[in-house]
Amino acid sequence: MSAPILTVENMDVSFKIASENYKALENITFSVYPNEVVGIVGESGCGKSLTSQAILGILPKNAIVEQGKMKYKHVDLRELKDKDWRKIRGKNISMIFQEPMTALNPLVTVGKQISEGLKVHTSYSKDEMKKRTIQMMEKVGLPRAKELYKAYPHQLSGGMQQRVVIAIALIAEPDLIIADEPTTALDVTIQAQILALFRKIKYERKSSMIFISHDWGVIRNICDRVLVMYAGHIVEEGTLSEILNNPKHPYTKALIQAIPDHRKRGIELFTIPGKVPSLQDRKRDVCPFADRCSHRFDACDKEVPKIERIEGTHAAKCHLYTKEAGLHRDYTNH
Amino acid sequence: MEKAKSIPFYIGVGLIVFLLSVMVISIFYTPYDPNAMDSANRLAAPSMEHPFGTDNFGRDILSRIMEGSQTAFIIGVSSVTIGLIIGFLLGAIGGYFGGWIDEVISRFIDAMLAFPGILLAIMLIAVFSTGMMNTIIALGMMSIPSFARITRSSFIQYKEYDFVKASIAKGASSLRIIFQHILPNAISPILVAVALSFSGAVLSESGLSYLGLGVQPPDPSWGRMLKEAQAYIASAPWYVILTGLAITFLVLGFNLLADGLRDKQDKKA
Repeated sequence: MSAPILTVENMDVSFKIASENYKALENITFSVYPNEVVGIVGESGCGKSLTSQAILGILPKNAIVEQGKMKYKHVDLRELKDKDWRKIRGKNISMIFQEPMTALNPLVTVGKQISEGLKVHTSYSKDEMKKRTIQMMEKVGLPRAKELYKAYPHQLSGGMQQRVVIAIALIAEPDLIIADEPTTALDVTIQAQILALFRKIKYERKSSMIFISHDWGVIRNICDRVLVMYAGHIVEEGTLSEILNNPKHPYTKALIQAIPDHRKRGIELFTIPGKVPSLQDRKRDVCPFADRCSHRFDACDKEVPKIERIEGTHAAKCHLYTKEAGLHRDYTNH
Repeated sequence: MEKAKSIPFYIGVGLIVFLLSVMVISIFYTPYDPNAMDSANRLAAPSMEHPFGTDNFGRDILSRIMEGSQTAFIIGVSSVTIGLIIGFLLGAIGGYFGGWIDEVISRFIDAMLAFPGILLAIMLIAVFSTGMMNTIIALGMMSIPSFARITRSSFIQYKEYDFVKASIAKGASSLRIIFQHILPNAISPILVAVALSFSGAVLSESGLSYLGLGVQPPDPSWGRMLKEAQAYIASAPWYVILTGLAITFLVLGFNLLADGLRDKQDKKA
């Protein structure tokens, strides 16, 4: 495999609340390779969005990256000065926001907002910028691009607004696009259209994507590889089929079991008991999922499991699979 | 209901437009030379010849009020411009960047606010002497804190918005975000402040001139006219009343404009 575009190694992110430090992300390690779509799944509050914000350096004010490495190709993102950051944001790594309503400036025309990426990163003439902007608008499926160029966001429907947000992220032709739940705020039919657009982007463009979602249907549709996150940890990673067909971590298994399906009609849907512990209630130095896990045993309350390679690209962070604890147990796959 | 609410706004606009046209006309035409004295016609009551009467030197009051409107507008516009530019920059920088720089700016503004505005102006004039230019600077300084505070609070609010984060994610510079993205959104409270401090400046100039600290002769000023008129309040009441009305209308016009703008803005939110 070629060199990764993005590598994140042992990254910890903490929130400072009332002079107390709360770890929100722990030991995040993953890579994104050229032309692949990496999905990040997990319940709300697991740290999916925080991970993406940390990569782009746009964390909320009271959150800090405590340790770890983040590299875009050979550039160390944590060492970047503001000026150099600006050259990377939008041009090399761009972001698609969840809520098109709030991600667009209500008082700036759509065309201006899309072409801003070109204004900042290129030295094209005004006409060239406009031409490229309109081309991009057509590419993301905005009808009557020339007219809409002068429209304000409120004149567009939700689906069209999201297309604008996508056009903004694509305009400077980045190698890595981070899509933070880009379909969550849309209704189902529009979701399907936007997903189709993402698939088109994936096959037409040579760029990698990090696709954050809590919707397995969306993930299944577009991702090559999947990271499963729980309470600030990556608990399992693998290719889409490894994760879907052969999940290892009890959390992943439970998540997949909880996907609604027409074959499950009439049967009560499986749910995971309890909820993701809030930042203040998280226990340190134990398996983060132990409290909700149906396979809990003594090792789970003693230490955080290390991520253990199961085979090839497939790895899980669970004591059932660690050498110290799990291998001695007689555990059969369900 | 919607119509009824905006009536004060239109009255305000009407007053301002009226006084503005008086000001423009006075540049080219006044019924008499505002400084021409006529000792035979001192303190004449309003008549066909002198609609607003004459003052203690026999000068035509209407012509002087018209001429004075120029001073009022020049002082209002210039001092608001000074206050707006400096106040906006201070507020925008403090609100957007936060941290120590915001601390420094906020404390500076607090310090300015600790002085009553007019006292600050008097102090500045006492140091730099009287005159049109110094009056403008002093009144401009006086309006810095209100602009800075309004701008700062809008910037603190808007910098947390997703569209600002989205522009950071595009690679836009802070300057670009401040002027292209946040400023258009923050403009309406700033406009209200502009209207309010315009009327404040006109009023303060009149006050300063009344105390003899503002605009000096030969520049005409409503405040100084008021001071002169005071001596003849019993014998020539029209002098003080008409001059006072001119000030009142201008101040009222801008206050109504500010109120109307605020109503419109509240309706939007």
